[in-house]
Amino acid sequence: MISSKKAKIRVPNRLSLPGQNFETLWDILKDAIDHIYADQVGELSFELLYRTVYTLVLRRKASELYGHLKSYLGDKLDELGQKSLKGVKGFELLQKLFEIWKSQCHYFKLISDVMIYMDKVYCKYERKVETYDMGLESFKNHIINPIKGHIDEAMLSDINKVRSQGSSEAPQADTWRGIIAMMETLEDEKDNYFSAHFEPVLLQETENYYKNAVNYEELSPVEYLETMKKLKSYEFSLDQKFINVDSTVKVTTVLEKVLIWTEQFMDAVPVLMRDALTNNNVELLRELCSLSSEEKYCTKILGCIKGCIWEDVTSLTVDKNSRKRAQIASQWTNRIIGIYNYYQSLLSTVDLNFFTFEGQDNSSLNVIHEVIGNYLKEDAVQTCEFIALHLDMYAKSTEDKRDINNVKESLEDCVKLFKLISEKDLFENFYKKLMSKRLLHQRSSIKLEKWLVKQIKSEMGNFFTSKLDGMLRDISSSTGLSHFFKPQENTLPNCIFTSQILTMTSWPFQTANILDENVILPPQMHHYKEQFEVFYNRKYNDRTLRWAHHLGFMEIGFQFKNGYYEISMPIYGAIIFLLFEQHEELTAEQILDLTNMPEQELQRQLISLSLAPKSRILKKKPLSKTISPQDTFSINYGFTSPTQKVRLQTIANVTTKSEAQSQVGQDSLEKERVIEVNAAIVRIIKSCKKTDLPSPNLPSKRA
Amino acid sequence: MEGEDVKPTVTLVSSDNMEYSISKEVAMVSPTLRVMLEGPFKEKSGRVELPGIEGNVLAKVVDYLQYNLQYKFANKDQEDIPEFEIPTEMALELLLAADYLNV
Repeated sequence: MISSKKAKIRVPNRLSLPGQNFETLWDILKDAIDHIYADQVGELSFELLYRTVYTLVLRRKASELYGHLKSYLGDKLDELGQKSLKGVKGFELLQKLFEIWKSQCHYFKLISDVMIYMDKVYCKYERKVETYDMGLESFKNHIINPIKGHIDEAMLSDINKVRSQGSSEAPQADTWRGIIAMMETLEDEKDNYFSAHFEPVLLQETENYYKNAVNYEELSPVEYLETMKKLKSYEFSLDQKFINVDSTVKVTTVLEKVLIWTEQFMDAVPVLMRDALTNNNVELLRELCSLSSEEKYCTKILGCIKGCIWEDVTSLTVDKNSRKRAQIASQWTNRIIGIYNYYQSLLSTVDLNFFTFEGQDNSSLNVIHEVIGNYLKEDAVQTCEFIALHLDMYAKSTEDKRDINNVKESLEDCVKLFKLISEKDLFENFYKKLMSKRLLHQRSSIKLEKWLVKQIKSEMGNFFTSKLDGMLRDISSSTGLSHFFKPQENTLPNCIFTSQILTMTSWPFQTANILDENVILPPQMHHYKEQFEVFYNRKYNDRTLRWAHHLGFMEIGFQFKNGYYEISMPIYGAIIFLLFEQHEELTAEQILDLTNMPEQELQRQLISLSLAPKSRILKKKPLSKTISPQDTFSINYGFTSPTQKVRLQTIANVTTKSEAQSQVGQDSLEKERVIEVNAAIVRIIKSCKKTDLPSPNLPSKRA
Repeated sequence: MEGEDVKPTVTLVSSDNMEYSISKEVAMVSPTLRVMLEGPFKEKSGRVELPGIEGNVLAKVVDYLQYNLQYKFANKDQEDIPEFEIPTEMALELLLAADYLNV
């Protein structure tokens, strides 16, 4: 009953076709499909067909309709396959198939348009694939599946043919792309037909093809690389013509697998890398780096680079026996810096950053740092010593305050090495020693020293420069102090006295020798000494002043026969020299008595005054290489020198002593380290608040 | 009738041979009609016979198509959208027609 209380609702006429049974209606549709296949769509009334489907669906005949449609399409396709594809092979097959595919897609579309009402009402609720997709499925089952093997074969042999011709034009590519697109459209169980079935086949075939394409063993590394590049770019451009991006990447990966991971190439990589790095061949380097982005390959490349750098740095030879240690040190340092800069500029042309994986930072700088740092670690003592010596040499060249900026520039590179030094305290030790000598003897510009300390501070941290800063402070405060110190009038007018007050803890010297106190100074010097003591005690009442003669030096002007020379020499040497103001000739024994200086020190000074080739201002009789108590000394008036200013070098008297000294330095360093470590342990324990027992993971924290 | 280039029109024919000329744009609102008009079938000429729908119902359908097109993209909050009047006695017929035309 369809009526309402107020307005009458008219019972609608049935929209569906009246009366006819399923068979008649189905015949209408079958006839329509035949028409569609015959390309005579224009004669059909869509409305009629639509209404037919509508009627069938309304009469709950949808599932029958669906089944009929499916089997009818199957029959159609079977017939078509038999007719046009049987016996056809090769490229022709592909072409035909592609054509059929195109037309079938069109037909399916039309049929599905007609079936739109069924799709909407039946397929959606019954979870059946819609008409169009059903058509595709039938196409796969009835057309593709029977000739699957033929299609694969045709495609592959066709592709390989083009590959072996190596031509960049592939007229067939359009058809290939069409076929591939068809495969991608067709559904398989989980994925589309292409990725489920054809892609693996294609990859496999690609691998086989390239495995056999070239006889790799006959190629030299460079040729190999060339071939590889060519094949890769060729295959890439070919692939782009007919498969999608993802698959291209897959093919490329396969290619890499075939080409790169061969024994020959793995052997060739280091050779090529060596070549690239040695000859500054940026191009080659870039190529090598960009061949593959696989992690394994990147690791290999990085390994090669590191190996090369390592090779280069370890090939630096050090003549340990040479006497000119400073020069060798400087040379060595310069070469390290050279290698460092070379690789830095070279590797910066390549983007190693994309090698970053596992949280490891592989920027080119880090790579260089790692390798060179490792190298520097190998012989830490030597490294620290050499770098310190290198700096020393440069610093000394600024004595006359001319080219500070030049030196700064050349040292800037060296600064980079600072942070690579692992045993920073060792370096500090060496540096401190050399710096203290420079400062005391005023052999470098304070400005540069300050700059250097600043650099060290910024690279290594405050901790290592506190003593260096202390030294600089002492020097500047000493200058201020000397300014205030006005000696009394009765001193010789031609003497200038400069004091350097050193804080004991900052300077790397052993506590002043007690014997120093007993040395008999020449009267003028003694006078100064006393005056200064009085002055200093007045100024800083509670400080103890101790004289360290062995650190001081003195400049004496003297008229020799051939000219006037200003000779600067250590205080001890000066004391000895000044003796000859009153004496013509003295024996070693006499000098010892007159000066009361330590015997060993005396020997050393005498040797440097009378035997060192460049500074023989004393004559010695007899002329032998050792000093015996009975040898007599007198002023060598015949002394000449190319410059007016002469610096008297004190020779290290006994070679074993310097070694012993450095040994002492090492020992004290060890001690310092132990103290630091202990302090660190205490800090850790305190922070853990575990006072009962040292925590078990302490050693690991220490490390 | 306007020029076809500017606004192509289609003609809907009802079961009692009433003809309604509407713009193609309006007709396209119904997926069923769209498929008919876009496909290569007989109907692509622009004359669609709908023998299942009576003239007065079809008139209402055309009204609705226009109504739908007009307010499809309207913002419900801002614009005042008038109610679409459906005569009660026609309700069932319209329902069937709507299902048929998939609107």
